[in-house]
Amino acid sequence: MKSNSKTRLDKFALLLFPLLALVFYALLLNTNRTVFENPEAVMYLYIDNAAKGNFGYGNSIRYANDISFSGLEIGDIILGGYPDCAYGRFSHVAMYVGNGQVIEAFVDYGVHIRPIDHFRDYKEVCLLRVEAEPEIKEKAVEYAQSLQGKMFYALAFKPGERIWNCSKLIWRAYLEEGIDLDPSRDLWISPDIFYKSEQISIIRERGV
Amino acid sequence: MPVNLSRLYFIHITAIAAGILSTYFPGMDILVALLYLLLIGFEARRAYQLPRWKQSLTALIWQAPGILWALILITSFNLMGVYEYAIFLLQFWFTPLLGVISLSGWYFYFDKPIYYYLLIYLPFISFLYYLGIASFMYPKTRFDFNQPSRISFIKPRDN
Repeated sequence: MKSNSKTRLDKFALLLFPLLALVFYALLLNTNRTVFENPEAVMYLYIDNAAKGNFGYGNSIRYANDISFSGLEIGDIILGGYPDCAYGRFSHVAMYVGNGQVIEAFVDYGVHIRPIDHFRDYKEVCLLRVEAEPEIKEKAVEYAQSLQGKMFYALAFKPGERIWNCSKLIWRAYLEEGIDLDPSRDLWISPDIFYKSEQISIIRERGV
Repeated sequence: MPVNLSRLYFIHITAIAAGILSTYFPGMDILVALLYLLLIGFEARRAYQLPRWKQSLTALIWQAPGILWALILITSFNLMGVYEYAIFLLQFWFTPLLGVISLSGWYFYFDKPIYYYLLIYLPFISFLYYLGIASFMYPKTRFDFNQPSRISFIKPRDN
């Protein structure tokens, strides 16, 4: 009798996480059917690139681009990208907070403030301006700054406030002020989404 | 030992899948992390009959990927170009514990958040967690002479 219950417990231990994964997947599918049916969704882009052998953020050597950061205003968005990035032209995004600094999320540092100069390392770089009042942009920056120290996770979904990636941080900061920069309603945000957003104008760019 | 190891890997890999999906539902990732700790504890308890060296080897092989990536980060040794991605791989390896790790935010030490250091030490902490339970938490049936046990040499006296 005892050994029967032990065997059952042994099996249960093995089945628990596959079952949980199935339940989560079913719930995710049920609430986001349109995303799964959209061939341009970020996950399909990632799968396509993985099939071509492109993983992660691409070939990250220092490209020393010559873009000028002059004239940037608080709340402007900076995109950076390496060749062969698995999720689009750009692999990273940050928001200008003034004094030559940006707020961003990165795996080593979590959500943090850093000098803008490291965007010179990217081959592709683009400066964007959100079409909004300066007060709204300042509030977006304040919100992002309040998240300093929070954890980075590359596969962070849109919901939740404990786990962030670079794109989710910027998207959410503006969403808190009523500006949704992602028209795709995808599960994840990728940096390219900001480039395509209709509420954004391009200040200048380097690369392709 | 191969059975114990296979079970550990199966639980760990399926917990990674469950962990990723659970992050869509805030709070569920914490539940996954707690269940993961519970199941690993349960697996460690199953290994009580193994000799200490086999328990250590099981824990070591189970955490080998994590230990490798942590050592690459600690030593800055760029093994086959993996250094740059080591922290991503380490974080991915510990996806099952993401819910718990993410609670460690707000603190910085030498310019890096606490979770960064936690990730580096987690392979070793996991190793000790498994070994600690396997070595010191015997099941209640320890005096059941029909069960294999390290103290099975104690036989009942014939009256």
